Amino acid sequence: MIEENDGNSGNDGNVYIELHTSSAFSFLDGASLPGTLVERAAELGYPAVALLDRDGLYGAPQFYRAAKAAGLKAIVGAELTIGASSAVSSRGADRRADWTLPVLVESVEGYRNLCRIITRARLKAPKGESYLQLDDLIGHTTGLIALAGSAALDAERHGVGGLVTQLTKIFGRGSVWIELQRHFRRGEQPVLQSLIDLAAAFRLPVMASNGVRFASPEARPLYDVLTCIRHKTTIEKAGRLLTANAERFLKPPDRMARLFADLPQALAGTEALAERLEFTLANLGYRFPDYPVPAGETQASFLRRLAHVGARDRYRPYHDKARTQIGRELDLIEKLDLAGYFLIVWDLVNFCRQQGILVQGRGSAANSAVCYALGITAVDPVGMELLFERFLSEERGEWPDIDLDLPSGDRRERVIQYVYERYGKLGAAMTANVITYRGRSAAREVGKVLGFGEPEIDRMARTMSHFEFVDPEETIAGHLKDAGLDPEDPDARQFAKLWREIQDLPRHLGQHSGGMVVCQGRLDEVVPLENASMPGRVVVQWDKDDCADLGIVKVDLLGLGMMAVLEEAISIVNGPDLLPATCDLQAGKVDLAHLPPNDPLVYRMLQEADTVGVFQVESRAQMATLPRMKPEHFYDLVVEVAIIRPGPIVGKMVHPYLARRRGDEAVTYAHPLLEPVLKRTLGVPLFQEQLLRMAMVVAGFSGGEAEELRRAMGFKRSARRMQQIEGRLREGMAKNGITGAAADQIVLSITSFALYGFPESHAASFALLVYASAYLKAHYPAAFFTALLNNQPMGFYHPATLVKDAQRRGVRFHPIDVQISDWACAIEPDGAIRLGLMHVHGLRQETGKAIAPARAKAGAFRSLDDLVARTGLRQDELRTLAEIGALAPFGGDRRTALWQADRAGRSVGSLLRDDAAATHVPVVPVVPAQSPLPQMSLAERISADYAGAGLTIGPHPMAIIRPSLATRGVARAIDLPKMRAGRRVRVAGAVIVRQRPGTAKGFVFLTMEDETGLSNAIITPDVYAAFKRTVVDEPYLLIEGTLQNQDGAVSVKADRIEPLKAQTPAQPSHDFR
Amino acid sequence: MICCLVRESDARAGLLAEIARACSPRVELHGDRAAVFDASGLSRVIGAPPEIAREVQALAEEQGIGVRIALAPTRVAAWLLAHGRTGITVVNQDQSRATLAALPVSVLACLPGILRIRGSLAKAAAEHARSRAVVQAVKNDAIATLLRWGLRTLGQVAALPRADVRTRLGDEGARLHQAACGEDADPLVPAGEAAAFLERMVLDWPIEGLEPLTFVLARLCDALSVSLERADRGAVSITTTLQLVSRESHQRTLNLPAPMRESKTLRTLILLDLESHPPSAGIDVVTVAATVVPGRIVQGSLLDRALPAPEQLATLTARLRALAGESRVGAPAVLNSHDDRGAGMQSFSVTPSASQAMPAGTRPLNDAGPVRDRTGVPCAVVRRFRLPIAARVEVERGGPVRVIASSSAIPASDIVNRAGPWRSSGRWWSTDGRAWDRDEWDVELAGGGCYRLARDRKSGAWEIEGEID
Repeated sequence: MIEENDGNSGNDGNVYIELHTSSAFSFLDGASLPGTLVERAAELGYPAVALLDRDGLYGAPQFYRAAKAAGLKAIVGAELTIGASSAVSSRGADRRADWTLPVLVESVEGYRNLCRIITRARLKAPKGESYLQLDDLIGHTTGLIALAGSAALDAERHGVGGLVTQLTKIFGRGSVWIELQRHFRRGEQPVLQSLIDLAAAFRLPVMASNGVRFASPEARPLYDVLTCIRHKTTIEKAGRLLTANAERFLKPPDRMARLFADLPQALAGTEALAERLEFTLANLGYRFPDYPVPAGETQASFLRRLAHVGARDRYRPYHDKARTQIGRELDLIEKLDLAGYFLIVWDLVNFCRQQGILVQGRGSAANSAVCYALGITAVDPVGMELLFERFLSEERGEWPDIDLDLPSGDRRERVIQYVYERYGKLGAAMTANVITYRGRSAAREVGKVLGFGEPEIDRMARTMSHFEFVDPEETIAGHLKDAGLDPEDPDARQFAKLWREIQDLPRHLGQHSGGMVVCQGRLDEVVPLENASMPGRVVVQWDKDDCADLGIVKVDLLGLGMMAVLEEAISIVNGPDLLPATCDLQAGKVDLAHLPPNDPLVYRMLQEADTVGVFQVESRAQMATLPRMKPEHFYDLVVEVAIIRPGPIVGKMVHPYLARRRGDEAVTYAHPLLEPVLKRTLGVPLFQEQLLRMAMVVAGFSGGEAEELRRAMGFKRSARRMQQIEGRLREGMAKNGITGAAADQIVLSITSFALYGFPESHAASFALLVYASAYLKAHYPAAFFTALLNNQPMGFYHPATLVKDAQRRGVRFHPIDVQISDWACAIEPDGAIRLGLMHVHGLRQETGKAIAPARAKAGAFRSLDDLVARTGLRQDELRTLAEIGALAPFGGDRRTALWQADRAGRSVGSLLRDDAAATHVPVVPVVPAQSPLPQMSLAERISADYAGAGLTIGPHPMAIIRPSLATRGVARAIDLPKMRAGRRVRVAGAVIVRQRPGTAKGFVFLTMEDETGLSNAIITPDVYAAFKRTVVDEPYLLIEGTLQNQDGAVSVKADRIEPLKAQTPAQPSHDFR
Repeated sequence: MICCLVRESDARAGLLAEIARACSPRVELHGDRAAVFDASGLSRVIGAPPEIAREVQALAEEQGIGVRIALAPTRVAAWLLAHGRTGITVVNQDQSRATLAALPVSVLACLPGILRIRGSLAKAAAEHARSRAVVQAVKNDAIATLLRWGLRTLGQVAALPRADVRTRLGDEGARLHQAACGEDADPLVPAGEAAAFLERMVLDWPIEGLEPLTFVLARLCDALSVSLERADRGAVSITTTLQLVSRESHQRTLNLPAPMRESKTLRTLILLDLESHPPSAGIDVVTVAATVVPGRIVQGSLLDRALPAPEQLATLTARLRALAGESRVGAPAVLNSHDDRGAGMQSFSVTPSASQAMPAGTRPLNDAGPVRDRTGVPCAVVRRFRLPIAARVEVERGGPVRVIASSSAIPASDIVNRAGPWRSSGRWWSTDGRAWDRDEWDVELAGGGCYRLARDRKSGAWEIEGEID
């Protein structure tokens, strides 16, 4: 072996193809992303490169995409972990004896086999593991090439050459290659020689590889860190677990040629083998399932029939405009052979309807009149003039994307299980969600590996990402300083470098919240499947983008808390017994599809930003905009949903729109051609569809081209592609005579907005939910808040805030009571909400849910002992119930209940046990004697409520200290709107939201709650810097500053912030970091 | 009356015990933080309880430490008052309960041996646990339950019926209740004074050098040995303190490999150690103190070869350490690293299994076969030079072809055979220059001899690391 030069040379006519690389998708056994490997391979002049990740094809789509872009052939393969012995189960087997068998895919048949093999290995093992025996491969190796490397020499298990014999039997003589690697390790030469001898003896071809684990030697430290994470050790203790040198990188072909100069056949083998490997992910053989149609119908004709029937019901009358649009869409759907897809989604929606599950299509599907006619979406795209091309276009050649919003929880799970039932366990699966290393997890893992102490790691993890906004000053050095480390310290710098490098590397595979893929036939032949952590769930190894890129159709079944709230609230309102005290409408009359439009009460509530709990418009930013926007019609809600988004905010569209709406600014257009496009939004582009239409109108783009433009400016925008698109845009505009400043303005508005814009159709779908939730809040607050409290966690506010908001609206609450409460909250005949046991902290769900049935079965609980005997409550649960007053029916105050609970929870032994409950002997309720304990004070009761239930129906903690605050001139939240803007004020409250949005240039927004309502404070970056710890840590604040009132949006611009040192219970807050 | 002392400032170990023992023979020690003693008889010597307290305080001040002092009729009352109040507290039978009643419940966390409260939680509870977080943290403890009951003072606890407390909190609760009432659950258990294995000699004239010290040490070690023998104890460590004429103190501590008490061995070990670490001036006072454990019982075996006695082994290794240096004696250990140049040192000990097992890579002297590695494959043996020899190496096509060593022991020569390079690198995270990145070659020289060459990949420097057998 001759030493090669270290120089970064390329391919000097030497033919070598790297056929064994592993990426970071080998999960802690590779340090470079597939894209990085491809980029490096392209730099080195490789014509092709193969990716073999461990027991999976996780990185294959990214690898394929990157290779396609770089003009490389992306060869697919995997390293299969083979168990040591078939006699031992995977869990009991000694994992150290496992070995890996690299396999490469030669043909489509081989790819299917590999997917099936991996699926089989994964589904047999718990999540994250794989279990495979060599025998499992028998009969599934057609189209696969096995690489026999040093593992083939393991004489102990297989005898001399035994493994090679087995592999040739299983794969066939023509499909086994001997793999030779050289990493400058002492002792590898005898192994290499033995492999060469074996190849000669078995007449097998040889090929060279470098067993690549990282793209370049610089990534070796990161690989070592990942190795330590994998072995749960520190870098100091890892010793020989670490790699011996940095040779497992993607080497230039000429270096590999010199390395294997003595074995030219091994080099030539790589080219010969690569030529054989014809398969790429370009052809997966995926087919969307056919929908069974009645005899005599095709899928297209059946869809056409359904669409027209549905349209007649939707459009009354079914006017020509709608008929034309639907006809046009159906033609395109038929042309693109997508009828089956629409029918399958329609089938899902039908299933939901039959089951009484609320469902609504969202996203770009709302641009389709066919979807509207089929009942998939609820927004009329014809009436709203939505752009169909945003949903589907011939040019894009992609599957459309239909997302269905379902009530979160059990109802959504029912729909998911329906999909599994209908298409089989191997025909449907959830899409994956690759969990990557982010700020905190990265800091924690890297800190541990480098041997930092637990307190330092904690501090670093905490400080690494605090809020969404990243201050330019908050560089890595700043973070280190915050964590008490010297940024100049070499160890700290080492940490910082590795922390940065590990960002975005895959950590493990999760499950996407709702994306499902289905397949005609076997999905496990298209992509490997594996177990999810949730029982009964199977996930594919690719995320939703990868699936979409490779033409696998996905249906998103998204759980939306508000759908569950609406469903439950409506069922309460329409229930037989409810007579809402706050509503003049008749019960039983609410239908989500036919809510009274333009309800004045709803719009008044929205204009006053009284929107706690209302879908989408309850955030601090939305609440600040509503009084300025003053929505009056449904379309205003569509705008309201879309306007508080990073796109319009970054593109500086918000203020011009509001100013034009108020009439403070004239409505102008960059070019007269744009007037029809932007008229509805007063000349300001707010929606993605407008962007597309602008391009179509001013630059003559087709619908598909315009969508291309949007995508080019999307998340992963590349400068080169942007430049190309902009060139085309300007060219098109020039043809229409738009040049100079007007052209610049159009380009600017398109480019600045495209990144985070909201589709109008999506906004319209959401606006329907906004209106519905606002309607319920306005007219049926008790039902609305009951449903909200039963579907937590969701939304922007904690239940504590929801309860206080409801009380301010006149909703009455009854406390949690073991003799009355169910698991969920419910409305009582007097119209008040009885809080449910679900809000008791620490109460086990199965126990809590057993309380109501126990009452129903044998009557009310006669005593605490009876309660314990019949429900199996633990002592800690009993104590919490006592402290929050849920045991009040047994007599006495909370402390008396606690006194009794502490005794009742203790076993008395069989001799003294009261078996009355078992024998049904009537027992006179025991009235407990007054306990010797002091009664709880009001403050203690509130504290106990927050600690035990997270909410209180008693007075707000601020009400207790109000007298002392009043003497200090602290204003109440309710008083602020009446005060003159510009005056200095003091305001105090429990901090319920802390926010530092990425678009706000370092400003921090606080929402505080007192007994009268919510107040907002704005903290400038310098004030935040001065009071950082107080703002972040203190539950109650007293803020002094200048009152601002912008058209009714009231806030205090803080100058001084101090903690409120009164004895107030810590209230939960939502911090958006 | 019972007196409790609680240390408030830092002090050397044992000082609180010394103060307590100076007042009473019946002393109960609780680490270095607190001591309780029976002050019953002191009234006849010193006077009324307040005077006793002042006297104890004066004693503590004399020693330079701040203490809290409480005198009460019961042990537990004295304990709680000393922990719950600052300064001096003196109460009689009548005042005891009322004074205790004002103390916060959290002070119960300081009771020794009564509660199984972990250190940090005890501290948190002691800080007048008001916040919910603290209450949550100690929720499984009886004290946390008392706090949940809304009880803030010991008086409120004492007012509860004890039987009811026992029903709810068990024996632990009853004992807390007793404590809140100032009733002793356990009697004061005086600790016997630990026998000190310490010998000391004040010299009439300072001695210089170690030779005269031999005689002094012989006398001290003889006496120490006798007292160890009597108590059936063995020394596991020996601390020798030499008070020097320069008013400095020269102290050396020897950790012994096994408990031993043989005078001659102890003296030899101390002397060998002092040879390596001699005092800087003449010696005025010599003190030898031993830390002891129960005596050693050794059962010999008929089947195993007798091992050297620990005394012999300790003496031998001590002699070797004196000769070779502190860090140069021990058993070699293979490091868990890819860097095969390094070897670690571990303390040398002989166990039956170790004496019979043959470490990998070694062979009996009479075995002429090749040395084998762990897997049984024959391997070459490299005799590493103590310091690698720098060399200039001529390189052709990436490989070395001629070596010119900086030492005349290896004449300049062409390379006729070579194997390599073997590349290893590591400790990239090291900030102390211990990172390495090197290539190794095994070469055969035309002039005879096989050597291991190494090139530092960073600096490009070559060196000859060793000779291959």
